[in-house]
Amino acid sequence: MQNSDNENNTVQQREGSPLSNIQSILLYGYGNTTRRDDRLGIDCVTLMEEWIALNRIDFVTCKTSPQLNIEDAEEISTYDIVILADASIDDIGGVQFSGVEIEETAAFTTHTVSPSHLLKLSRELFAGNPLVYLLQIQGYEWDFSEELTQQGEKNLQKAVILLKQKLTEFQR
Amino acid sequence: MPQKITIAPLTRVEGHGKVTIHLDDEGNVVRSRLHIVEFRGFERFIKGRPYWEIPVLVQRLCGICPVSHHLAAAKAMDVIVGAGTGNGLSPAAEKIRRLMHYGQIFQSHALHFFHLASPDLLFGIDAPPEHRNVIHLAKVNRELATQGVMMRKFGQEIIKATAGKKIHGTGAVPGGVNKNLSPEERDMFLESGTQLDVDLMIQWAIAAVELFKEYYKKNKSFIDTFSVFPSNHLSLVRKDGALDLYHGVVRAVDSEGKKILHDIDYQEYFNFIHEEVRSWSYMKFPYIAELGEEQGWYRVGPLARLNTCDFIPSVHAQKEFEQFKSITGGKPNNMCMHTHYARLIELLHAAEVIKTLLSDIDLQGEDLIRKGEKKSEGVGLLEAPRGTLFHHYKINEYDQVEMANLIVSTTNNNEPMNQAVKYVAKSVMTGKKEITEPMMNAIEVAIRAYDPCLSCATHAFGEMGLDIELYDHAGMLLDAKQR
Repeated sequence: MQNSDNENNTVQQREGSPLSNIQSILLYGYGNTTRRDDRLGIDCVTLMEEWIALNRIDFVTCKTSPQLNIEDAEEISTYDIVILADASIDDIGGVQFSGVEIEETAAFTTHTVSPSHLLKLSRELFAGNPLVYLLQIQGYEWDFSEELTQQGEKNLQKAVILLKQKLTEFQR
Repeated sequence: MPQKITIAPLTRVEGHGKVTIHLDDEGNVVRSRLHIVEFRGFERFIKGRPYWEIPVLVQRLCGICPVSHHLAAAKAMDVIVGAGTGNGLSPAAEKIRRLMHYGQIFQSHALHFFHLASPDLLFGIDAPPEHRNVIHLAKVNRELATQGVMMRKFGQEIIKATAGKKIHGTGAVPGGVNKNLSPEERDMFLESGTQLDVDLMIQWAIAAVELFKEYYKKNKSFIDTFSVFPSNHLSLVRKDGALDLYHGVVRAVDSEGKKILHDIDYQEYFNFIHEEVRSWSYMKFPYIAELGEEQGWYRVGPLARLNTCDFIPSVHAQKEFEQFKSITGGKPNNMCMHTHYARLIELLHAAEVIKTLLSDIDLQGEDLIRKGEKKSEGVGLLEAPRGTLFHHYKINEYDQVEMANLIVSTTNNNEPMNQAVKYVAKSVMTGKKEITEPMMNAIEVAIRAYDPCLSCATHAFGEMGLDIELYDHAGMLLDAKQR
């Protein structure tokens, strides 16, 4: 279940762990780069990685993958904040940033480990307690191609602006 | 009255699938089908690409077994660049690729058993759906669930060390590999007391086999009778008959163990294996040409491999293999649920092979790429976690791919999975007026034993849910279930 946050863009705060104590953030983009707009999450994190390097932001790590994997449960347990970036097939008005909450009965497939499932595994197996957010970027076409659609490209730019804004908030 | 039952899409398999079961007036199963409803188009996508890009490009077929596609394509390109058919590479290149491949086998088998299959076995196929998942496993057996994650991680780290990245690496290139294994990378897996210690992986793999054997003792009737039907079995074997998941010759045996493909050179696979198209599925149905469409279908994967090979060339796995073979008196094992047993024996074998390879100084060799007289056509075969994987390419005078044919493991298992659905549907649904959730799951358990990757077969990623709909003969919806 996602706690939608796309309208007020506020940042969720973990109990007993103020944002001023944030030491580490993982930006994690995933998708299939050969299926048109399914690459939006990966492209977003790739663009952010360049910006982060340019601005010498040392508390943010970037990672991309075709999908979320179960072993990521261990990795995310070591971060204070995890931001997952993924393409969305739903009409979400371009970009949506929301908090991820645990679902007790999260469905599981190896190709579609859900963000809430990952968070649950991280907590159950590795005592992880990161704040996890999902950045959804709306896509439109999913055929075999490496090119984004025009609207997908626009949403990508919006997502990058939003992420920069979020990172700035986390830095305060 | 005649009824039609639809289960769509399947859960805990990869990609999109749908099962339909038709009942007659008396409630007997008259027809069942596993439909693949995604269109396959990856071969067209790679047409026109330069051949040297293909080993990297084809990995995008799948996020779970990219290494299998990477290496199968690289093996085909070895032929095209004149480096031979698996035996022309340098020792360093051959062994680094093997290490990568067995890392892939190890992580995939661990993932399947601990996170897909074990909930069904440990909690029962008729347990509530909210219990049949790894989250519940984590609650009741944290150690086992953690081991599953760490074994998967170990395999991924082996892949990273050999291919450069955990997913979609670039290690294998036409004619060899682009890097060797440094002593530092090697030592990461040999240091005792760490979570990447290969001896720990062997120990955990032995424990996993024991776990299954204990379960088998207590549930022999279920394991021995759930979805049992005779079939042919096909896999690569080493020339001396040993289990070899990276390279060899193609062997097939019938349900009684008689050889029906006699260790053929896979460069000529198309003379022996044909593919049938059926109107109701995008996934083709391969068969042994000489036996025809009706009799020539075969199983691939762990069960088939232990049925075709003569022995396993590693100590612990060979011991388990002997016990496994004794169950059927040395004859082929046609019991679907024994696939899990076979998969765990292979998991153990993979860990042993990895340990042996890590101790081989050839991995630090500098001779990485070999080439010879260029050819316009090449075939690469290997045993992917889910079964035999065929990659076949032809290139034109401009070095562009002009023909690609991929027969993935799940496609090879198309007819066996359909047979499994039919068998289970008949046993659990015949004469029943209501379709319960455990009945639906029984169908899925049979399919899951093959560890199908419908993404590989159809080349699409997708999300899963489960719907079941029950129709009468007039097409009226009688019942619908969803989770």
